[in-house]
Amino acid sequence: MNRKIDIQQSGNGLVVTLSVLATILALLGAAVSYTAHISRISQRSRRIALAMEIADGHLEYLFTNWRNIYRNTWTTYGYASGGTDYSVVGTNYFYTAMYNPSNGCSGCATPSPVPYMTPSATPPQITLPATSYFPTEPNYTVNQYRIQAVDPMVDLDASGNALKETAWGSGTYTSLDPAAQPPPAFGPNTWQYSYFYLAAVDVSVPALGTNAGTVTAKVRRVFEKKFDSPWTYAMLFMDDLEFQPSTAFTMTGAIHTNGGLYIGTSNFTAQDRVSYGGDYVDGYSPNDTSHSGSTTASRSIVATPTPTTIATMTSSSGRTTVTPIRCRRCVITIKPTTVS
Amino acid sequence: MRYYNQADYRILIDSSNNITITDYTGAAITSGSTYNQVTGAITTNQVIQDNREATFVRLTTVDIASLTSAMNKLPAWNHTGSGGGIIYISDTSAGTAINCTLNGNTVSTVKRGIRLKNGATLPSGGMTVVAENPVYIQGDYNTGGVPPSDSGTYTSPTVNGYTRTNAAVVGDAINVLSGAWSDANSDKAISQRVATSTTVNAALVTGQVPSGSGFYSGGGENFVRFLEDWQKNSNTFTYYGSMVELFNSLQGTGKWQANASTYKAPGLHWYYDTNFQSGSPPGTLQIAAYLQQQRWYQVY
Repeated sequence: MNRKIDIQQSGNGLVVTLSVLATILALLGAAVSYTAHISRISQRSRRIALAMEIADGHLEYLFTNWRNIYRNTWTTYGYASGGTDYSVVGTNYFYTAMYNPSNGCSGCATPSPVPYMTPSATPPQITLPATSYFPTEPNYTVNQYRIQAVDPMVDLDASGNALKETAWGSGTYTSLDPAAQPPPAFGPNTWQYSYFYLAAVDVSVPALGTNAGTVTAKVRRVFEKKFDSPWTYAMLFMDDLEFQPSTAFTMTGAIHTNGGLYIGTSNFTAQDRVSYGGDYVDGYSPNDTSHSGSTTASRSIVATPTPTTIATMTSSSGRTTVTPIRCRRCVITIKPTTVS
Repeated sequence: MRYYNQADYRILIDSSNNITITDYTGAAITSGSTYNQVTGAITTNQVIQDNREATFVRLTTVDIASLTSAMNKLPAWNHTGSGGGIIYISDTSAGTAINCTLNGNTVSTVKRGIRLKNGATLPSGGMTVVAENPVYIQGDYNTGGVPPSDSGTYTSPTVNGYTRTNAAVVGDAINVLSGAWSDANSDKAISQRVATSTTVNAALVTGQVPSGSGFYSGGGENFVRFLEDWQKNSNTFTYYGSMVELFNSLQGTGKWQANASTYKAPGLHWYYDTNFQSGSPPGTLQIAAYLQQQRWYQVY
């Protein structure tokens, strides 16, 4: 019996095999390409995040210097007799290594002295933080590093320089003199007012290697100098604040300490917000060796720095206590109104 | 600006109990109705035993009611036009050993203090008293009389019909003596220093003695210092105000101790005075906070 061989069928199998192989290769190629693309996107995202982190570091450095300059050098010369309150100063008081309001130069002259400042009439120029502070990417570049006084609405011209309204509600603007105090914002009372400063940092980092361009992050933050009355607090401490009452003790109103806050007892209850500038310890101050014994385990509290009303809460051990707000950015100083 | 410079009147007492009065311009007031009004309200050379300081304290007592009884004799009062007045008073001889007499005994002390007495009713525009020495507030302050809070109604810190004014007391330390306080009993046992419930409505600015060397600072609950037995008869201390700690005390440096012979703590009923949200005691005391807002960014 003759057997008939289906040659056409064998040939089709080869074609199918090759087609499948080609399809697999194509898919593999696409996968490789897609992976590479995603990798580039991920790498770019990481570079963006890195640039922002470096810029944030520079902003923190600017803030620390801005605050220290303000805290160390202010005066109220002539204030009582209607003179100028030099405890608020303009842009010229905050020169940086890369920004001089008068000419925008780098390596500029020292800041303008403000009269009647004590102890120093000339504030230090704010330097750039050392590159070694950012070891992850030593090849970053800083393209802008400045602080300028701005109006409460942070009005800027096309070049990023501060503007102010020529008259309230006029809708027309003019340049804000770098030597002038910025306009304040008031509220809710006339003795509660703030002055604003815009910190600007532009940081570039290599995008995908040394020959692949850069990624630039332009990061901005507003610094606020807020004048307030100490009487808005039920209790305001410049130093460490401890609460270890032996019997039930409840306070209404806001509580703030510039130092550490130590609460080692269930007897204390705060019915309003509690904030601190140092550390919060669920126990005793290390300086207080008169108390001994253990309290509940310390809680690590990292709360929003925005003051909000904090409700009382009960911890697992049954202690009624409060959740204080860690508010390192809310360190308060007393304007030089002294007792004696 | 220093409170000294803000004050309508500055009253200085020297080691010999001589009183020097100047007004806000620095002009000396040595005679006349203002001089008589001020000096008539001041009693010098009084002595108490302060058991926290563990020593005697020479007091200068200001009779608030007497001082403010004839405001027309105090022309510099409210010179800023803010509505209230500021009195600065200081015994400048702190640190100098002086002999005084308590209960017929001669005692020596280097400590000084300012006592505010009869302060139940304050001028309507408010009043700020500033002292470089420790301050002793004796009896109800800014309450209009004996308020319901002294009888257990803690949400009523003033007598009916009296509107508490914006008041402040500033001192190196703030002590509260109850209305039952007796100078003669101050060096007696705690059983003879029994307090009566007392209410104070005033902002307080003072110093502290920080924890250290085996001592507790006393904490926020001892922001105000006591020297009596408040627990007998379950007496209370009601407070409406705002408490501000600015410094470590320089004169009232006695450490807080859980010592029942020094004092027995009252029941504390402390409230933030919400009147301070819309008004302040006479004088300027201002704080500055340095804040950062949320950052924003652009990426290229």
